[in-house]
Amino acid sequence: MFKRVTPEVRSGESPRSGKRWIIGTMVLAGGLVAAACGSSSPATSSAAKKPATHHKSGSAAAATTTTTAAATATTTTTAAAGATPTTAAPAATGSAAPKASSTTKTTVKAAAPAAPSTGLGSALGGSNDFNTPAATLTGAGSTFDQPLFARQFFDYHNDNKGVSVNYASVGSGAGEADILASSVAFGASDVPEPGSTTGTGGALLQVPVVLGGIAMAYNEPCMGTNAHLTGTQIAQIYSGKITDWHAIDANCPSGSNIEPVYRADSSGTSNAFTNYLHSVDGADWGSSLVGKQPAFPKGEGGNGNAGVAGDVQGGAGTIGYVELAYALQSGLNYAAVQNSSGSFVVPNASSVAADAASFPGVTADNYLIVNGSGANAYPISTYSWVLVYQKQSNQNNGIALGKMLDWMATAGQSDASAIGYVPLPSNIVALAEATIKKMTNSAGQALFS
Amino acid sequence: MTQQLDSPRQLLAQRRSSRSSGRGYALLLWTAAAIFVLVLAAIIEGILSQSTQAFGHFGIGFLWHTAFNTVTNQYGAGQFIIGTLVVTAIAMVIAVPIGLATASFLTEMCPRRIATPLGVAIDLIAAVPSIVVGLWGLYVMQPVFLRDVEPFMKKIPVVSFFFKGFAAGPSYFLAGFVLSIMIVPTMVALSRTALAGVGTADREAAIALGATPWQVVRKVVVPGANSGILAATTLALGRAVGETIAITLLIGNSNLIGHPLSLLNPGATLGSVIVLNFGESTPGTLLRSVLLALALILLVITLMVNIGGRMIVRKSRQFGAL
Repeated sequence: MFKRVTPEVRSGESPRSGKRWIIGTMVLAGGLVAAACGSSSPATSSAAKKPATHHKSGSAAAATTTTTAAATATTTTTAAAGATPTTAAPAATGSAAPKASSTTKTTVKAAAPAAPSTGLGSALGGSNDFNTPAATLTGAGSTFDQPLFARQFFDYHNDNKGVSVNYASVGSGAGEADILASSVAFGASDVPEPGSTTGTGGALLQVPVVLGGIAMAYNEPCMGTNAHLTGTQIAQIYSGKITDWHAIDANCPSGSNIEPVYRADSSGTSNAFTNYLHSVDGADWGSSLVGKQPAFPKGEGGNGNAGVAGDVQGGAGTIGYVELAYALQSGLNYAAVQNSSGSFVVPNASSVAADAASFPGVTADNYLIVNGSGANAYPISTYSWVLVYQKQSNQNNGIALGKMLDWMATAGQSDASAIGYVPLPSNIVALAEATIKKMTNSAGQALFS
Repeated sequence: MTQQLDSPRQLLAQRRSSRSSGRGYALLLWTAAAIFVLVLAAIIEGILSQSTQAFGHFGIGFLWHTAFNTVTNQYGAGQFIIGTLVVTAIAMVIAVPIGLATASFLTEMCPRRIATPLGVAIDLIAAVPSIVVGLWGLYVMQPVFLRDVEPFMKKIPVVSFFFKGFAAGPSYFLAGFVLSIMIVPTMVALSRTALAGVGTADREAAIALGATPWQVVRKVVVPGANSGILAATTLALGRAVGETIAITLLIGNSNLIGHPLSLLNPGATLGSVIVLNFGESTPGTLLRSVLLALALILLVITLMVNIGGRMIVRKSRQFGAL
């Protein structure tokens, strides 16, 4: 009985296994195509990647290659091998040391466009400089930062192969919770903690890393592509007082419903936005509606900046607030907003920088920069911050982290302007560097002299 | 040629010789079963202990209050319970008739050549991850709903009562519709088995009496499979209540009960509000406790659905076909 059954099963199976071959090949081919696309896109997306290839190819024998590459690439700010002649010498002598260290040092020194040259390059190149440790750093937090961080960490890893970063864009609130619980090496938030805050790892340091504008993106054909909104109008839209696009623009037929979209999760973007609404129109937007996750009286919630952008794009009559990079990436229309001097301004690098410039005394305890003065200032702007522990329990990781943060605040800022963020003004870069220098090892010794 | 099968006599001999190993085997099975009971108990205990802070703070009124404000720390579960029930109800209203009709078609009328691949196709829907269904709902169904379905619903006389106001995209209705697609396979697969279990003799008797195919299904097959259909409905309901990710994408995540009351409003369910806020809540805070209290409510609803379903099924079995 048993014997007789088996051959039948086999014969029945053979054509099917033939089909499996075909399916297998198709899957394989699909995978290859996907892999090809995946590998090509980052290469094309960032232009200044060429030096990295030199770097990768010549590990030991290419000391000369690197210097020649440096000579050609000194102008590019992100240059991995941006080694100036003076620093090329220690790199040659200490060839046993990981290359990443010397390049990091030189990058910091050579490429700091906005840095007021506080000499931090040499400060970071203190006693521990010559073994920049290999480290995998984990971070979590702000979705506002995500598009920038994705580029910066990619670039930084290309320049410093030893350091790789896992960043989870889970929202400012979650990032704060994670750093307070010490489950990540750094948290990112658009809302800094109060200066006295301590987590499970002790005192926190807060480093400003990026400046950005919050765009009022909308999806309503009758508003055209350059809508003008006043702060009061935005407050009344979100509070439910204005429900019709007709009230804003007579070109819209009456009965064009407005659907405000807000952040459903706790968010630093919401914090800046609601602070702005409160500062321009306290009557329509009371102080109980200010915060990272206030109870919005009307509209629908999206999850993260990307969720809001998606809801605006897919909805009808929608308006939402998102970091400018998200509006640009999604191709959304965004409004010109009236500033405190009465002119309507769209968010871009110069208008956000103009807003930030009217708040010279920013600290972690005094961080809001909404509704600044200046004819060209875009009023809904915010800094974003990275939170790290002052005492780094693992010295190697601490050094790698400090160096990376310094790079992000200086050379890495060139990634910001490319995608709609605004490079940090020089006084904020100085604040960032002064803060990074406070990092210590577990014994309390400064990591960077 | 190795010997593949033992004769029954040999098997019996083997069994006698290995009593002790058989006892060990039984112990293993008992342990496995006990672990799951323990896990269930641990889940309930863990959530219960974490949620006491919220219930202590707001009292039993937490169940029907509709505030959710992290600035003033005012929370209630009312709107989320309503949201969960509304979305589930929409899904069941769509999925139960469609699922039952499909199952009847597959067992009663469909030629076997078509029935088998069709059944496999429906089962495959059940295998699609819910995030994929959610994205499909967001990018494919939402524009269709905005353009065609929702304006159409507003024109139907009685139904239009539920479709007042302005449709902006995400809504209870869209979420409920997509959810119904996710639970139809459960409904079909289980009620199909139940319908197939009704005796051929019953059908033939009905046909002999001159019943039309429709009458056979309606008067003989469906009543005969009543308990199985109830079981299918219960399981589908259980899945619908707990579904989270697709709903979060489609419901609009508004923590308010919109005004005017309409299925086109954005809303939130117990699952969606937990998934959106849990990452932001610091352990030990009131918000974290509130979220776990919402999880407890969700758990209780799910258990009630399952236990209630089981009791109904047992009742209907006791009394035979209703």
